[in-house]
Amino acid sequence: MDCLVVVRVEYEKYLKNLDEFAKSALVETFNIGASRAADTLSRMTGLTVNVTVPGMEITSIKNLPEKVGEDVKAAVYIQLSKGFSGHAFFIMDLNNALTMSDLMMGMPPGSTTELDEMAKSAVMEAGNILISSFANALSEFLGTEIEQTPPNLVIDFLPAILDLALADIGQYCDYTLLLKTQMKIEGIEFKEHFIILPHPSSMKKIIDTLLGGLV
Amino acid sequence: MQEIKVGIGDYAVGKKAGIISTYGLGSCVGITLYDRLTKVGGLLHALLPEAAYYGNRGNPAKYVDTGLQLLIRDFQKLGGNPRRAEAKLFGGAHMFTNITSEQLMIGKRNVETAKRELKRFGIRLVAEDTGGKGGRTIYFDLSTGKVRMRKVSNGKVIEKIY
Repeated sequence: MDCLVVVRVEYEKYLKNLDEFAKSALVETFNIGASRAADTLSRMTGLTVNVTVPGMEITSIKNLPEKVGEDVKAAVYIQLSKGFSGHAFFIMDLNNALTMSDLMMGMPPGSTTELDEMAKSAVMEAGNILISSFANALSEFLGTEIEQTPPNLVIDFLPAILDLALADIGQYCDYTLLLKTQMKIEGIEFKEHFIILPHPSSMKKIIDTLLGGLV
Repeated sequence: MQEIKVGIGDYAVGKKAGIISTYGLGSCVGITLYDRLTKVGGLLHALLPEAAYYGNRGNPAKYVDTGLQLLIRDFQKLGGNPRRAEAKLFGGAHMFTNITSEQLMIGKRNVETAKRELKRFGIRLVAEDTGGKGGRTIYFDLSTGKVRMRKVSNGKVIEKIY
């Protein structure tokens, strides 16, 4: 039991003391996942899709609500477990969700004016494809199986949406890694996007895998 | 008017005037305490139920039980009396229907722990808006003790006063 506590204490130190090399290695890994996610969505919809991860930051859980703002957003959420534990969110403001629904259903942007059941399921499908293929890329990279829950769509204040993931990570440390992505579909820029909150142990696993490969 | 923003695993107290707010309570709980006589009030935004269950790790204000102790301590410093205090409780939602693991039924456990701890300190719970699927944002008015709550229902923001 003591041993477990010691390991947990180390996550916080580990997270706060990540060097630039480890950070860029992590960002690179998430970029590989993001580009795979874009390819898959593109193949399934015939649309031009581009997703990149420009960077990441280590932020205290306490300040996260201020950081992300309290706007109402639509989010597709999938929990990842087994080989990689973490929380993946595909987040859009409500206008972007309507556009996404149009694009997914092959209609000109502006056709959908309300987030009805049909629009919601189109958005959920887009989120599901993106997160699943991202997870598949990570799974290959880590050489481990990643389990996923079914997708769930919610419309709510963004910090409330992220709360459950923070509660999970908050069991181990007071800081979390916040990854944000940029996404373009058919030249249309989507704001907010994709937030991955990896479990501290899983982050360490990625870095160990990367560094192990280099030595 | 002065507004103090409380983060996650954070708390604040104040007296007579101003607003203490906290954004986006999902599975988290927000607890307000108010002493009508001295107009001292405080707000805690807690992320997890019992500190001991998680090995008392990290920031004590992120747990309902140890967070409430800190809140009561500072509430008393400003002249608040726990025996006169009125508590209100918000949050503890279960945001995602695809999460069914007992371990992550945090919202329900947060609410249960908050009620148990308030009772232990002999503090009356006078209002609550807890559970359900939606997040909440609360604004606590120190001049009246009233709490304005915003919640998303069917994609629209609704407001209620407690």
